[in-house]
Amino acid sequence: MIRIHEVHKNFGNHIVLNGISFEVTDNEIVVILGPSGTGKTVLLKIIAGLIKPDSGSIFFDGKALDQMVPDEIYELRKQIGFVFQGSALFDSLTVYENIGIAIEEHTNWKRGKKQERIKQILEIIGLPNKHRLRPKDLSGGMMKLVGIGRALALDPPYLFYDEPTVGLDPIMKSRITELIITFRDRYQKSGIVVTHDLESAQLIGSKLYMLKSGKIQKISTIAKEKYE
Amino acid sequence: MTLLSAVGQFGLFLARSIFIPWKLRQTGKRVIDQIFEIGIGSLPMVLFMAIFVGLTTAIQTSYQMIGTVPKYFLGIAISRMILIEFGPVFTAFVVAGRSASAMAAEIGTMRVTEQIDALEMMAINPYRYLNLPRILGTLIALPVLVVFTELIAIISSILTSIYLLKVPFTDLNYGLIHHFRFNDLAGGLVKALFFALLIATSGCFFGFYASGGAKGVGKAVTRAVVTSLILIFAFDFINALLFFR
Repeated sequence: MIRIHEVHKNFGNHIVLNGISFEVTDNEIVVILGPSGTGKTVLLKIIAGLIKPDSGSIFFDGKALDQMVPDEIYELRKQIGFVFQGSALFDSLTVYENIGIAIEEHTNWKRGKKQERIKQILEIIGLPNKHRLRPKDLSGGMMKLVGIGRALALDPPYLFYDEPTVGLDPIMKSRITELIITFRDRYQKSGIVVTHDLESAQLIGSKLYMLKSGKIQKISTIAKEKYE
Repeated sequence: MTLLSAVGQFGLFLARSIFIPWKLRQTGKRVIDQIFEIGIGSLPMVLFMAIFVGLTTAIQTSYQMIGTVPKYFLGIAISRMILIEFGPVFTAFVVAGRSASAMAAEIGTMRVTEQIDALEMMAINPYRYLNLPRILGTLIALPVLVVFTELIAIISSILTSIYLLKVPFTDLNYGLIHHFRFNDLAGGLVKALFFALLIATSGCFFGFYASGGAKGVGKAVTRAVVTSLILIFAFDFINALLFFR
């Protein structure tokens, strides 16, 4: 479980987050909605430990992020898959290498097992024959899918998505929305999605919050059944 | 930023990048890639530079000496100037211009496109993944390039002296061989190691802290090259003051 407690963040005189608190329980996806520039990405990066809050705490299974030593933070991050808004794929690596980088770094798996896992991920994201391509050869939607595949590599229990459907055509948008729902329902992944896409948010979110003027407000609880 | 805090930040960055646990299995290949990128990649430019440094050194030294001192002094002067100063310093200039800029551009682009954040989120330490291989690669490649420069520059000087300046080979050879001091060569190579550390750290440092999109990356590249050159000049002076007085 992730608990966000009274998080504040200012950039100069600009108040971005003003006492944000909410929880993400197991097998639940929390969606943070809000217009561009309201601090959704900042909040997600604070929860992931990439940005330090001015005050407030983040707890992962009861343990405060700000009290963890760097090694503990690295261990925690193996439990989180992060899908970046711009995909953040490594330009010099192929799709196969991008997905496999965390496996290469953190496991002692034999070559066959590595290949099997990467092949499995490529099939899940629907790009089974694109493993040799580099990011420059992919469309925006495909890059997003590879970003999702990379986040899945170590099979983390938490997935964080930063604007997963932004800038995509309707078909790719629904494909990614379905993938997120699949991860939640079939693979029991909990997570946080920040987006300004209300349509996707209603489909994937177990809970919806609106972030506006630094404050967060719960909109509604969307039952899983609604989508089904 | 005051000069003192900038120096502190630079030193801390270097310490974080090199005093870090690493495994040969994970980092070895990336170090080798960097050795090839910096070493082999710089060879054509270094070769060109070395030939002209050799040519100019022979002509200028001869202009200042011939007629006032015995001809074998030309051999001594060429050897000392190239081994102590021109070899390490000019090679460092080439590597600073070529590799510090490339490092800052590559790492800076990774910073502004969130690729460094992505490394962090995959629990991969970016200091170990990005900086360590570049620093180690430069530490290995630069001294080898310096030896290559010195060899080519000395050959170029000898040929210029013999065929253009008509200095007898026996005189030249006497100066080169009989007055060769191993300490001159070693001193130049030690200097090259420090230059390597300064060049790679500048390239990685300014790339790592780049911000503000393409313009920010451009600024990082400029700062990396300018800082490398300033540090090379400054360290060269300190080194001369300490060891060659």
